[in-house]
Amino acid sequence: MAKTNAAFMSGVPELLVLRLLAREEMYGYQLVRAIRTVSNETFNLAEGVVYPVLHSLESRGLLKAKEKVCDGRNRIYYTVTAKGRARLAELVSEWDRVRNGISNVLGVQHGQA
Amino acid sequence: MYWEYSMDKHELHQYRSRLLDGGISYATVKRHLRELLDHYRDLERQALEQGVDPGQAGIAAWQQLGNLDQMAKAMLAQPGLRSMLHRHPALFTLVLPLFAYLLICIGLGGVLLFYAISTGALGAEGLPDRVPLWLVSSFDTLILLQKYVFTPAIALGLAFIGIRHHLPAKFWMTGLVLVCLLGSGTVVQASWPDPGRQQMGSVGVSYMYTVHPLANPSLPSGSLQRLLLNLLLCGSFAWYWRSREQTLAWTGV
Repeated sequence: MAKTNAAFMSGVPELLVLRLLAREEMYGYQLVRAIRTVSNETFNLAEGVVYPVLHSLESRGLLKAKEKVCDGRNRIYYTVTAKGRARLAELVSEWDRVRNGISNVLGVQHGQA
Repeated sequence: MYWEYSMDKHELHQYRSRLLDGGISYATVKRHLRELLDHYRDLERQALEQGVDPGQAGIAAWQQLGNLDQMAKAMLAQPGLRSMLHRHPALFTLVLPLFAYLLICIGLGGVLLFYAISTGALGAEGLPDRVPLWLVSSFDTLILLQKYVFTPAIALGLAFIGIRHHLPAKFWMTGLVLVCLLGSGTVVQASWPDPGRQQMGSVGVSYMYTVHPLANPSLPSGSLQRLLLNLLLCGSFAWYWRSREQTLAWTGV
């Protein structure tokens, strides 16, 4: 049996950020709004969570930041690197495994009830 | 400027200092504060669109930006954000500056001599008919630069980087003193070949300290007066930059 990643649940912000930035490059405010909208308000990551995650992922080489002019303002856009896409694939695979495992457990409990 | 009217600039400055003190690189902190300011403006615009009173929109945006104390903790908890300067302060403030000084002074002189010998301007054997003027001028310039420019330039550069990156003072101050000690006491002398007297030339580098007569205004290398002057000059600038950094007047971000 594969060892469960005990720190996985705390990696949800990383998964969300990588997934959304893999679709399109975004700046911080845009990303916070996208997480809220796409998850149907399930996740509402505070600004205080998003920026440390963004900088951490960038320092690990999973994201790349670049400055672009948008509506006359200089904004810092983040985009996923090839290493980031590989990490995203790992996280998605781990998430699927955990989800299936939990579904199986919940299914057994419902059966017994 | 990295703050806006309704922001608590004292809190923002404390946040900036905390990140720099924690070892996050100056460039990362500068960029992060710019994107926080950008985010704040977006939140303010969002509040105005939702019908919030203009006077309150900025305050609401500042509150929504979050607790800067918690954000600082989250940023400092990322080990990958720590700069190389903070991970190896002794290497960057003590070893590299001294190495750079030696490389510049001795290295440049060596390159000049090597070039002169390889082009035949200075013979490997025997005396040349005439020492090229460009070689003499280049060496004189190098000696002047070594005497008056290299030492304060490297020492001031070190202090500036150390202060800007909030390195512990013991590192950059020690580095500054060591560079001044090394630079002020290094004496470079060159005597050129004299074909008339059949004398070979020589280039010498020595390290010494003496007290030169007060009447000597040039404060030559190797004199305690030059050391005191370098320490005073570099120390004054360092003290000025440090006090600016510690007040809100520093708007270099």
